[in-house]
Amino acid sequence: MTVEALRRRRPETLGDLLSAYGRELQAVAYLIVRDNADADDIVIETLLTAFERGGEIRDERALRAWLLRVATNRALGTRRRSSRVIRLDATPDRAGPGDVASESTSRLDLLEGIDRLPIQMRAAVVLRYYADLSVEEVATTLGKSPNTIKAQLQTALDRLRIHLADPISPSLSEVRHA
Amino acid sequence: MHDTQVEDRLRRVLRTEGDDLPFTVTTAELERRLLARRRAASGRRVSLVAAAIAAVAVAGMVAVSNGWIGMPAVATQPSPSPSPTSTAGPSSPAAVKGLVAIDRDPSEPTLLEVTPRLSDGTTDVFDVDGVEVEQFVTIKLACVGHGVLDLTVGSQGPDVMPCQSEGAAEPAGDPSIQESLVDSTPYRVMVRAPAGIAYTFVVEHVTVPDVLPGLDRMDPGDFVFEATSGSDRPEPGTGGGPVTRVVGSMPAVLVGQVQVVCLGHGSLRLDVGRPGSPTASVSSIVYCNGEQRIVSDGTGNPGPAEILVTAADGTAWHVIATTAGDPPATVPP
Repeated sequence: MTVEALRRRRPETLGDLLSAYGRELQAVAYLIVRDNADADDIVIETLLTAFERGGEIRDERALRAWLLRVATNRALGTRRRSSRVIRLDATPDRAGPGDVASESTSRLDLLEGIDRLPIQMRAAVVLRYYADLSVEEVATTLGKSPNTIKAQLQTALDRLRIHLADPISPSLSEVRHA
Repeated sequence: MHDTQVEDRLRRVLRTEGDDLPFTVTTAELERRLLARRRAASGRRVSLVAAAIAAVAVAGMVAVSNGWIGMPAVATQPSPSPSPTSTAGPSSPAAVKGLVAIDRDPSEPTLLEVTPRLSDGTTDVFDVDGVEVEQFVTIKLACVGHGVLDLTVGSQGPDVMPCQSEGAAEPAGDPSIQESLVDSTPYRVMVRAPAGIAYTFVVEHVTVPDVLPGLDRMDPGDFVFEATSGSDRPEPGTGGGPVTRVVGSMPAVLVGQVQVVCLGHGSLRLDVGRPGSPTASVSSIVYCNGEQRIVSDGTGNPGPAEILVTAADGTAWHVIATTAGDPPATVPP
């Protein structure tokens, strides 16, 4: 995938973008919005934006960061629009017998803890720990200072640690409105 | 539990959760959405104009009641604008640090120039005067700051533009250059950006040639077919809707490409489709301003594909199809 190909707007660029970045963008979007359909939509809109505007990027190495930035901004917008929707199916089923269930429960506890984080903080966590961006890159992506991102990530880790120690509180009603 | 332990668990869980997702987005879906996006643009025009008119009325009443009318504007030609709108942040050296100067085309009249300004997070609205429907213009925009800028031109967009960070080592780069077809008057440009982003743009007239320019045959690839509308000048249309014609067919090739140039009424749609299939594998919209475009079927054609041109009656066009990858299995007569 080259910036030059984007600049020329050749239609095969769409397929190339999809195969090179589609899965990662989908995962980042999903981990922020927690909805498959919304995540797919964000992937499509991000890649179409790249197809139409990405040719302006001069540094090819910046393409991935730019795509993550567009996808994250769209995810944050999507999440804001749907934040008042109460999703009863968003609460994971924590009951289950045996060791496998225990491992699964631990994973679900962590995911639930991530879901409870404020949306900007969750986006920072996803970009840092899923997309493996540096603190500086996360800051650029979210339009914040590196110090703000460092503070957000530290707060997120503290909250997750507390949540894993006591996953029952706060109340489920807060989870459902997160 | 230490931070590193939580971090390790976070990475594992997020990777598992993200990488296990079923991936169902396809290239065909992307192309379908691209086409739908462009078609939908024309549909948004009516509601946008209606909303703008209503908002202008409200803004006007508010302005009159508060005695705001008469305040100096910073932009060259800012219009009354839909709510919420910016009251035009003043330009300052700090605000525009790193913002590149826009090179204007000396041969084309400048229709609107917006001097560097600082967004306050609301929408800035500008009307481009002196244009007519179906006229082509070019928008050249540069922005600097943290975040992305939404640019809506007429009924097109909004397009999302990343802005260069002020502290970046490199200069802000070339301005974005966007062709546009005036699809309504007043012709409106709306800019929405996070507070603190500085931007500047110009709108230039595009002079369209009287005669359809010739196509420069591409070096690589084998010639497959050539087709024209039969006239090298646009003619008055009959007023009917666009007409679709099958202008040729492409054999099974790894990559086929079609050069196209058109002149006349708005835009032309070029489809590369499978014979007998109502769904084109590639659709591309080409502005009929005399600029040559290349449309490529990057997915390849496992079987023969028809090339279809959809254009308003009276549009002058010229198409040359070539292979860009493996040589064709057969070349139609």
